[in-house]
Amino acid sequence: MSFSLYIFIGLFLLCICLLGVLALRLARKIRQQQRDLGGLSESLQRSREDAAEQKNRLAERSDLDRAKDEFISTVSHELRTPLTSIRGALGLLSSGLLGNVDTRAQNLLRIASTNTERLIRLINDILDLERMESGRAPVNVRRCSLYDLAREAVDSMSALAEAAQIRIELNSYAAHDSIYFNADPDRILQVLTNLLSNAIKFSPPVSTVSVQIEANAEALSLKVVDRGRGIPADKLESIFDRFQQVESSDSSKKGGTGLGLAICRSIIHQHGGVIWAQPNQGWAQANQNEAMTKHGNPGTTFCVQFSRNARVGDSILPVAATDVTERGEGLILVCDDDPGIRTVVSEQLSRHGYDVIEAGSGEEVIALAREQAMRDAPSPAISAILLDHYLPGLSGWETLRQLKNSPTTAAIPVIVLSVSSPSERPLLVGEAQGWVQKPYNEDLLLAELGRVLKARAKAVKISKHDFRTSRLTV
Amino acid sequence: MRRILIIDDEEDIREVAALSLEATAGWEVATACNGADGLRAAANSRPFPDAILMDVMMPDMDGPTTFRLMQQNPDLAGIPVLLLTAKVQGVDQRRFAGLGVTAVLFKPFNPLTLAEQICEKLGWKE
Repeated sequence: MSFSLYIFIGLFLLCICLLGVLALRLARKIRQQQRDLGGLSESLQRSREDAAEQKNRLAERSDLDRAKDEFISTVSHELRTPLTSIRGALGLLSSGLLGNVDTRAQNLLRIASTNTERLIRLINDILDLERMESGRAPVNVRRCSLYDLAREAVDSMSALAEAAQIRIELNSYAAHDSIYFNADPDRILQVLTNLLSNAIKFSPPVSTVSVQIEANAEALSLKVVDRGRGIPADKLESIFDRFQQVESSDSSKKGGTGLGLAICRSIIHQHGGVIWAQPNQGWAQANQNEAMTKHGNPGTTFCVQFSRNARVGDSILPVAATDVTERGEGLILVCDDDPGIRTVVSEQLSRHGYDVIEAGSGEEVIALAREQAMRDAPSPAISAILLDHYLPGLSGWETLRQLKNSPTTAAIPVIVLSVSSPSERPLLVGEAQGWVQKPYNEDLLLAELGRVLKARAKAVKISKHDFRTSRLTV
Repeated sequence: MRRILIIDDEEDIREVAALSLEATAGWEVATACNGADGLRAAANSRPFPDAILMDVMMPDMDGPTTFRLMQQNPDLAGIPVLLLTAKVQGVDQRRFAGLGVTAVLFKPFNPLTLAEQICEKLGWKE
């Protein structure tokens, strides 16, 4: 009896020991979990702070964009107002309408007038270039004839040419139906008149400026050939940069603003084309034969070339070494206020297997993204959004911020389509999952979209709740 | 002879524009230095001006507001209004065109062709 009592007590003690051990282990586990929980809440807090910081940065950025636009608009207005009085007063005085002015005073008035005109052109060009580079210059793409545009440009410059005793000849070496291409006629006309005005300015009197159009299966090109003093080899590239002229005195002597060729290049790139300058063909040979006197000046040829495969919005950026032959899948929301760009992007994406919906404004993007997110499967949710940087109304940045702030749309990756390079907007690169610089190249766009979609699929696999965005390094 | 009312807060611009229209076209020009003054000048002149050339950015009452008030006055509503502005950006242009004014002209204007421009916009044959 006592033996069984001992066994019972022994078992009882053993049970208590086991219970104690269990309790100890449980307590340790609870402590560990508490620590884990603490860490988790800390990291949650951190990510909440990160999100708030990003939100602030986005807000700051869109404020900055607005401030910059407003500043440029105000400066332009403030400069124009005094110029209106100056131009008016000088114009009336030098016209002789208010009585005759003696020759020396007339000469001074002429100097003041031409320089006022130059200042006005400069302000216009700065505004133009700023608009173009911020992506706000609308592109109205139509099917047009390069010959007709060249004809129009030549006609509009005929008075200037006549005054400088220059003959302009226009020749097309292309078959009639091969001179059509998709372009914004006003912009191309702006380029052509600019090139012609340069050619006239730098040509010696009684010489000929020749405009030649050529076409083949791959490209459509136009050349403006002058008989001017030529451009030194080391400046053939840099003349397309802002305020870069062959001689520093050119702006005052020739009345140029130093921005004309930069504007031309911007427009041609927007059309997926290339523009460059080269010495006239045949000149190099003539030079070797020391036949300079026979040929006079070396002259310059400005060449503009549009690739048949290029579309407006394409650029000549190098193609990323990423496989883009893979077919894509998923629903992509394309947002751009320019219907032409929207159509081109949509076409490129659907050609590669994507389904596309289009939006013309930030407000529309948010509405569509919410609507898609609310839908039940099997309707496809949006896989990614291609978002234009500059939009009227709700700007690209504000749209991005609203998307990222809403739990229903925060996980949709956004690729920004912007004329600025990501390095110019480092603060924002982190907010979007991808970045494609306009004018863009189709292959680069597809590669970037593929990369972003892959990163998203991976992130969803790792953790459905912890969607981390991958930063694009450029 | 045409009678034109110029409303602009910049005295120099008023003077140059008036001189330009008088010297190149021989028109009779009256001026006002702000929106309220312009409304008064337009309402009190007999006969009413044939056209009003008005600045957009003016202190107190800007061009668009002055134009709207003019439209509410049956005497003035029929007078063609041309805005003269230094705001040349596309956004501004569209905004002005949407106001219902007859035309928008840009600063800096050419003093020798300002009258011609006005005639062209209003379909006047001088």
